[in-house]
This record gives sequence, C-alpha cells and structure tokens, in this order.
Amino acid sequence: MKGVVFTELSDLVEATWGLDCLDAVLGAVDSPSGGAYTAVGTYDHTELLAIVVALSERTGIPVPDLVKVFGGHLLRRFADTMPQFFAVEHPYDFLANIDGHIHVEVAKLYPDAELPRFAHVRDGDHFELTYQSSRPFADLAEGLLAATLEHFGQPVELVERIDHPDGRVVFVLDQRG
Amino acid sequence: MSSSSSISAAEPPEASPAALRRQLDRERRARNEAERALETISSQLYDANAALESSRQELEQRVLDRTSALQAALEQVELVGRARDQFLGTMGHELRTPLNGVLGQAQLLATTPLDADQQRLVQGVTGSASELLGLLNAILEHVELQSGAVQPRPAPTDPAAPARSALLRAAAAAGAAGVTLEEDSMAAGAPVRIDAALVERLVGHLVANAVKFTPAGGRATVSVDRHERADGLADVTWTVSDTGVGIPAARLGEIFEPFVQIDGTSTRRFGGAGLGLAIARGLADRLGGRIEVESASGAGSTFRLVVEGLESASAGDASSDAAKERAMSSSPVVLVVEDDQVNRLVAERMLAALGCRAEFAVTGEDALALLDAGAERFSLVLMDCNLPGIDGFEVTRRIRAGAPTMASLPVVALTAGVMPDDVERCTQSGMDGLVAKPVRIDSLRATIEQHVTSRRAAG
Repeated sequence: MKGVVFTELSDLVEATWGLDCLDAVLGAVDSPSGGAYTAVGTYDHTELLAIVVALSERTGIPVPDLVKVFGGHLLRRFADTMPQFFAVEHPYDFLANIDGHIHVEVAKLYPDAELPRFAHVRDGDHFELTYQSSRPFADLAEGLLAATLEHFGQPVELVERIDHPDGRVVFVLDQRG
Repeated sequence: MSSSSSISAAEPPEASPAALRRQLDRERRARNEAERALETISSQLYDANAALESSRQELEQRVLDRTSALQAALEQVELVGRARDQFLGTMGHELRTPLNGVLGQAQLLATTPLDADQQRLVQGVTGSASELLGLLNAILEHVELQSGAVQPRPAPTDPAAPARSALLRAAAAAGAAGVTLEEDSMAAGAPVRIDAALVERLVGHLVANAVKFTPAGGRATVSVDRHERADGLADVTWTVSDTGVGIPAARLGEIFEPFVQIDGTSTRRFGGAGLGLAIARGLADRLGGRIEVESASGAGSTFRLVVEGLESASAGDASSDAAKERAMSSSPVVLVVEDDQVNRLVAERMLAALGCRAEFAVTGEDALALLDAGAERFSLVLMDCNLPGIDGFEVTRRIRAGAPTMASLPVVALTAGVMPDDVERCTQSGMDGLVAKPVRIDSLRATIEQHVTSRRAAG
C-alpha cells in the first residue's frame, strides 16, 4: 500500500487526538518501518490495519467507524491534491471514472500500486458501485463514497450496502429529487 | 463527518517532549527514505535517458545507411533501365538493318531478268526474310512491353480510327490468305483520351491472328462499341471475330502465354512465334484495359479489347494554335491535284480509309488558287506530275516560293514514272517525296505517316 495512506492517517490522528496519541499508537504497533512513513514509500497494508486497531483500543471508537472517518478524510485530501479528477458535474460521473480513468492515471505514476477495482452499473437516477479488493477495506470505500457524495452536493444517497460472501461489496445509490 | 461517536472537533492536547523527539526521529527516517527513493529514481532516469539517446543515434545511423542503400539501388535500377532501353533500341536497329537489306536486295533481284526457277528461289528468300523480320518484330515488341519501357501517351482519339488503320494494315495479308476483312458498327461519338497507336497495334495483332487462323474463304470482322456511363466516362470495346478454326475451351487460359500456340506439334500448321496474344495482353495492360475471348473448337473466335473509364476529349482540349486545333480535333485535309476523275475517286476513297479528308484541284492553277485562299487548312498536297496547263513541278516551285504557310506544306508527287530521273525532277522542284502510280494504300499510309502524323506529333 502506498505511503500516502499512512501519512494521511498519521496526520489525521495527530490533528484529532494529538501527537502523544499518535506516538503511543505507532509505538504499540510492531512494524518494520517503525512508524516512519513517507508518502512516496510502500508499506505492508497489515501495518495500516494494526494502526487502526491500536487506535480503536486507545480511543474506544469501533474499527469500522474509524475506517469510515478516515475514508472521508482521504477523499477530501484527494480533492485538494488531485483536483483534476474532480472536475465533473455529478458524483456518478466521478464514480464511473475511478476504474477506467483515475486509477489508470495513478498506475502510470505508481506501477506497483495495487489499487482496488470498482465496477459500476448506471441507469438514470440509479447507480450501483461494486468494490473489489484483495484487502478488506470496504469500510474505507464506504467512507470515501460518503465523502464523495457530500463533496458534489447533489441529492444522491447511499441507499444500501450489500456484503457478498465472496468479498464483493455492492453500494446502491439513488438520486432523490 | 460520519455518524460515529466521540470524534471531537476540539483542539487536541499539547505534545509531550518525548513524543516530539520520537516523532522527529520518525520524520527524519521517513525523509531519508524519501531521499533514497529520489536518488534511485534519478539514477534510473539518467540511465534511461542515456539508453534512449544511444538508441536514437543508432536509429539515425540506420536511417542514413538505409537511405544511402536505397539511393544506390535506385541509381542501379535507373542505370539498368537506361541500359535496357539502349539495348532494345540498338539491337532492334542492328537486327532489322541487315534483314531489311536482305529483303531489299531480294526485291531488287526480283526485278532483274530471271528464269522461272530463279524467280521461285527469290520468292523463297523474300518469304523467309519477311517471316524472320516478323518474328524479330514480335520478339522485340514483347520484350519492350515486358520491360515496362512502353509508356502510353493518351490523346483525343476517335475510337474507330485505330481499328480502321489496323484493318488497312492487314488488308494485304488477308487478301493473300483469301480471308475477307469486314468492318461492322464502328460506333462514333466524341473522341476519347487513349493512345491510338497502342490500340492500333493491339487490334492489328488480333486481326493478324484472325487472318492466320481462318482458312481461305473465311471472314474476320472488326467492330467498335461505346457505352456512355453515368459518371460521364466512356467504356469502349474493340471486337475482332473470325470464322476460323477456333480454340478448344480447355486451352483458353494458356493462349495468352508467350510462345504458346494451340497446335504445338513439331509440324505446326501455323507459323509465328506465338507472341501475338502475349503482346496483345501486354498492350491491354498498358492501356488500362483487358482482353476477353470467346471461342470453341471449329466455331471461330471472338477477341475483345475492353477499356473502361475513358475520358471524353472535347474540342475544347485543343490548343489555341489554329493548326494544332485542326490537327487534334479533326481529320487532316489533303489537297489532291489530279486531272483524271477515276484517279480522284480512288484517292478520295483511300484517303478516307486512312482517316483523311480529300479536297480536289483539277489543274495546277486551281490548286494555287485554293492554297492562296487558305493554305493552313491543308496538311499535305498530293501532286500529279502530269497536269494540263502548268505541270506539277512548276506548281510545286510556285508553292515553295509563296507565303510561309503555303511554302511549308509537304508536297508529295503522284507519278507513274519512278526512274532516277523522275526522282531527281521531283526533288529539284521542291517536292518532299513521291508515291508511285498505281497508288497502293500502304505507300499512301506511309506517306501520311511521314508527312502528316509525325508532323502533328512533333508540332
């Protein structure tokens, strides 16, 4: 997993709970990197899971909630650092672009990045986004999705989330009004 | 933010010194890692650029090498092409000259007093030499076509004209073989842009074949059809059909191969090199057309030259030069100065067959009057030497002394006498040549070609 996810998480933790909390959480995780993350590096995704778990123990907030919050934070950061991908009218247009366009561009710069696959079905007001990854970060995807809808400000809602046994997660969206 | 609890928006607590120190350490390590990554990438970039530059230079060198090789090959091809054209020209001349010598000498020998045996022998020599010349011409023509040295020169042409010329050329051989030549439905219409000489050669080969493979008493017919297309272009078909021996359907594919004749046995009935149809096909290719054949054993043959998509040539294509305009868009006009009515009729008919229009003057004075009125109308003057009033020689002298358009006209004598003295008188009076009477059409054609056609082509 690319370092940018780790650095963003570290920044979020420091900004929300303070440096002492971050220091404690990183200290609690027995990691090869020792918690020293650079955005251009690559680290094992299990380290991220371990950090989130340690954070959850320290703050008392359940892991899924933490991950969703982090997903939202990540999306807002992406909107700041990569505005070109957000230059569309409607969240459906953005979501439809992730797999075919956005991740393609990211892969050009970071060929070794293993990016999650997003398939979609679009039908007028109705949209279904299917998340597939070898990593169990469906909650992160949900957080990213919620923040996306908020970013575009259209009257689109996440109506349903379906977790399939084979690891696929389907988010059902609908436009109201 | 999301629906979860306890994520406060308040300011986080101050950091402890120990935590700050540890974070500083982590930041330093992360920075080092980032710097190492940067250095690695820079180094990779440098290597990639060096490899790219090296490839580029190699590619450039290869392009230069290939270009030089191509240039050399092109020069070689051009050299070979020139050598080939020179060879064809030289060999053609070198081979034809002694053959013409043999033929000429044999013909002269035939005019000396000979007994019956000697005459027969001379005829044999003439026959063999003619055949050899025919074979040589066929081979040279075939080689020339194969080598791509023949470049068609399209010009406005009445489609019927080359067909008629080909028929005329074949008239003598057809007569000797007892085969009747006929012309059928020569479609008229606006001229098309095509190389008339190539069409004439092609039709000539087809007619020669028709005559060769048709027994005495048979018939060969030439016709021309024209089909106007919706896009304004024309499709023209020249057809030569005969009542001869025909070609077995199974062999129709091979007849266009060079050196193939249907009867390939050692005692061949029909002489020749077997090149006529190979040449015809080569000519058809040059003209952008194709040859079709229908035939069956014992049922005669029909060959068609089909050329599609020909441009019509309007009279507006001609240049502003009056003489050129006349030459390109209409038949040449020949002034025939002849006092004998029968001779005039014969001349008119022959000239028409050769694609010319005849105008007549019965006396030398009439001729001069017509020329004074407008000499540029005429392409040639055929002058009978024996005229009432001023004779042909005097008329010619006055023509030569006249205005430039008149003085430059070719004048050819029509004369019964071809002794050296007669030739001398003709030349002295300013004539350009002579045709012996009784006039034979091939002599007349040669005269037209020499004094009219080639002048037009040159000018």
